[in-house]
Amino acid sequence: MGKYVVKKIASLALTLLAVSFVVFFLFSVIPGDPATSKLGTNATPEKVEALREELGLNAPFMVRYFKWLVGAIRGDFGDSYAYAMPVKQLIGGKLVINGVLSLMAIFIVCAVSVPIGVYTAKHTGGLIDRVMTVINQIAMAFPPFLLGLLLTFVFGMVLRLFSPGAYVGYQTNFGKFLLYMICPAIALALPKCAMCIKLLRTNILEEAKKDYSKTVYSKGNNTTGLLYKYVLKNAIMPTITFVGMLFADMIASGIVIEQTFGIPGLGRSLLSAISVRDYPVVMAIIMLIAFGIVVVSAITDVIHAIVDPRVREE
Amino acid sequence: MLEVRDLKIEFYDHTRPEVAVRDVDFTMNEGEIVGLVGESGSGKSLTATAIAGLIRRGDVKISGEVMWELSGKEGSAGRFSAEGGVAAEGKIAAEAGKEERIDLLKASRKQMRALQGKEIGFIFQDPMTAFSPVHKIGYQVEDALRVHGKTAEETGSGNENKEGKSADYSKEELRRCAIEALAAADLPDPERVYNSYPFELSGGMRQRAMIASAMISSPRLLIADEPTTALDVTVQAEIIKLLKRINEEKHTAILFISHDLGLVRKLCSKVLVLKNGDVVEQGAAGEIFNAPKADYTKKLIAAEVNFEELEAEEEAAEGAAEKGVAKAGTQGFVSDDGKAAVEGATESSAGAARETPQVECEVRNLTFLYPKRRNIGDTVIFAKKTKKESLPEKTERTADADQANAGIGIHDINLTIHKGEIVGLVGESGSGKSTLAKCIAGLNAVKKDASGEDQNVIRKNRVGMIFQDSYSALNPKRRVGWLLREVLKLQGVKDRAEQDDAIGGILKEVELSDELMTRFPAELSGGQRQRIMIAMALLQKPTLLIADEPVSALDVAIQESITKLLKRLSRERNVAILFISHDLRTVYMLCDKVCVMKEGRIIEEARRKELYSNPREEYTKLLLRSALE
Repeated sequence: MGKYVVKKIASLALTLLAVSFVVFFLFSVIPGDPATSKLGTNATPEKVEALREELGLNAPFMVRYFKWLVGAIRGDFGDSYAYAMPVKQLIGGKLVINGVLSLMAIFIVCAVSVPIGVYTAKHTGGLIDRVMTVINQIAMAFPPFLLGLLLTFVFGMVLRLFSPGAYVGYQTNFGKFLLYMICPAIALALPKCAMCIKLLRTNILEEAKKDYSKTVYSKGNNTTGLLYKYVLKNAIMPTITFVGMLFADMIASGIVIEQTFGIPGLGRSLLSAISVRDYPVVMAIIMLIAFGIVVVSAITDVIHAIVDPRVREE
Repeated sequence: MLEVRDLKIEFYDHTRPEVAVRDVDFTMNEGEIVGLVGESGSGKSLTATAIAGLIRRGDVKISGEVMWELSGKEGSAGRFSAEGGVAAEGKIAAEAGKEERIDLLKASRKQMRALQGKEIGFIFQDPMTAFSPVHKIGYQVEDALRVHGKTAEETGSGNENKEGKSADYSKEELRRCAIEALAAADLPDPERVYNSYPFELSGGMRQRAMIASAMISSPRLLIADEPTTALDVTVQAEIIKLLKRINEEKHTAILFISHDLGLVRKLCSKVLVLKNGDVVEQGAAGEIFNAPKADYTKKLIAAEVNFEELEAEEEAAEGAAEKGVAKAGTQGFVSDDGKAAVEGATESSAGAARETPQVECEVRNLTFLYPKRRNIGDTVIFAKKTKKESLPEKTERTADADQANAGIGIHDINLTIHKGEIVGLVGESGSGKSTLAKCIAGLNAVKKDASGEDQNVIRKNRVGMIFQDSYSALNPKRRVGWLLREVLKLQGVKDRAEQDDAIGGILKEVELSDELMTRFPAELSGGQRQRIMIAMALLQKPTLLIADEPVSALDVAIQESITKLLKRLSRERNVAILFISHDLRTVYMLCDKVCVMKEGRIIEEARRKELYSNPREEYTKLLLRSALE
């Protein structure tokens, strides 16, 4: 098991290195000179040249790459071109916001879909199962921003549980920040919940058909025992993979939610940075997303290995 | 103890009921072993699962009675009568005095659960799929105890809840009991098995663990549903021995379900023969086997090969038979040393070239090893053991591991197949039979020389292949006609009429009607599918046919007909066959020459009669004994 984890971490580091190289290479060859864009088109060539020298843009590619890589490892992604401040400062806070949002959403997905998935699988064809199937279809088809608006209306304006649009920074009041994040998290999580429930239900039903379920019954277990003691552990694997992939999807789906709820998150920063060619910020965000995805998939793999001993053996 | 009356099981298929089992009547006493014999589809497994309450009641309609006598043991009788609702519904026939009986078919799920795993244990056919792959063996073995808990009698206190559960076993107790049960099932190193996962054990070990799991709470009835079918012959014999010992020591009654009459004869005192859901004959084992009344039973028993009879038959036939391919080359193979035998064979066949048929395929010094793979059978346990215990001595560990790895594959194989000869390749699973077959068929990449030819395998012309599992070997989404036509297309037969002719001809040869052309593989029976496989192989006009366990998945009667078909085709078309099997009976019926494989080597090679009457190797003797007993 230990060896397995070490192997995973090594391959994780390699993947990140490759990603970083590709990212840096792409952003150094796409057209658009940062120095020119920073000084404006009226700047004299001398001034541009001076700034290029100052920004270190004239150094050879590999030198620039390693400088950037070493900085990135330390968390220093250089300065933003658009705002005269370090990238770290610019996106650091947003990372916390998105981290909290994603974790909350994932937590909701797990907390909601596992019990419902098991329940609907156990009572296949029952009333609740049929109702859930319909709700699932609707939830999957519902656009997140509309869901966001709906939630804002219900929780914010009717129930008055939070004030819509009045985003509270986590630095100001962490409790209120969390409260504010609940609705966006739900909006983000609900469509994923529907998929997760469907996936888990299907897998459970499939597993329960397998031969070992008869063995389990033959020992005197009831259906609950079969499902919770045996089937769930066998059937949960695809769901774990799915939840892992959700993490990767969170930033992308988060962009719409951030807009809807007026949250100053990474998604928004990424969009605006792309539009003004603020490459250091874009690269930093891409690297962070890549880092997140790689780490989460590694964690997923390790969980797989813990749940399924067969994965450990090669 | 158990009385089955008028058991009838019907399926609901498109609202029209289909009777799967009809009028099954029998009784079982404590400690008795009853055999349920029949081919697959005869309803024997269904009967067993119905008795054990493992059929979902929504799917089928079961009528009749399965009366189970409750013993006073462990207070189970008291528990049932204590359940007021049950008594009120009159589902318990409280018969005279202490004897209390319950109809298992009418019992509630709850009542059934109380019996399952406690009074009735169940062993399944395939121990691989019958265990959950992601739970440790120990957890699954002790589960019956976990579910049922301790009864009042065991804890000594009077307070038990309404399920008769007084207290739960502690983790330590569960562990101790499970290890005891595993040890009682003759598993070596039970503690290690306890902590293993199913895939880490060999098939035989898994079945032992399964038995341990069913026996852990000492049930009065053990239902064994084809417990040995998925196992090798030598392992089969051990499992049978174990079941017999359990029966003797614990006085557990066993309902033994099998299609293998040999096993039933060995084990059971009473036998029921089922055919298409009907009991065609039942009675004491001795009577049934010595004086079968029903035609079907006679047929079944006849299908069981009696080697002595076969030999006599053979000899009678031999006198009449013309000098065939079978007889040629006989003298070359009687030698003491394996290698020398082959050399001798080549020499003699070269010398006697005038009358010896040509060599069809020759394998010389072939070694093929799979890349490193650890988790096979007992090896992994062995590997783990060395890892833990000899951690300081690193060199020793790697040496062990290398040795274990080196064992997987085939070593130094020498084999000659003559034209039209049927060569049997026997051995247990994992002995390298299929690997060798694949090498000969060119499906395993073997060392090639400069000209791109295999160095070690010299074969002439075409090789046809027949696989064990015809179901997965045929594309399920294509009709039989398409499948056969594809073979012809690949050979460049473009003309449709010509294709039709060829297909019609080949179907006739494998004794199938052309109506099957429009069917999908799933709509055919196992025997029919295997015939299609043979037809497909023959369409390639092979001179060597490799049949990898072609009949192992089939019923006895069908096995025999397929074997006969192969034999006829081989003689008619002068096709050599490499017949791989773990079933020595089939091999005897079919083959001219037999090679015994063990751990990747051919340990004995002899003419059939020579091998069967006078085996040289200890291992061969063991194989023969377990097949013939």
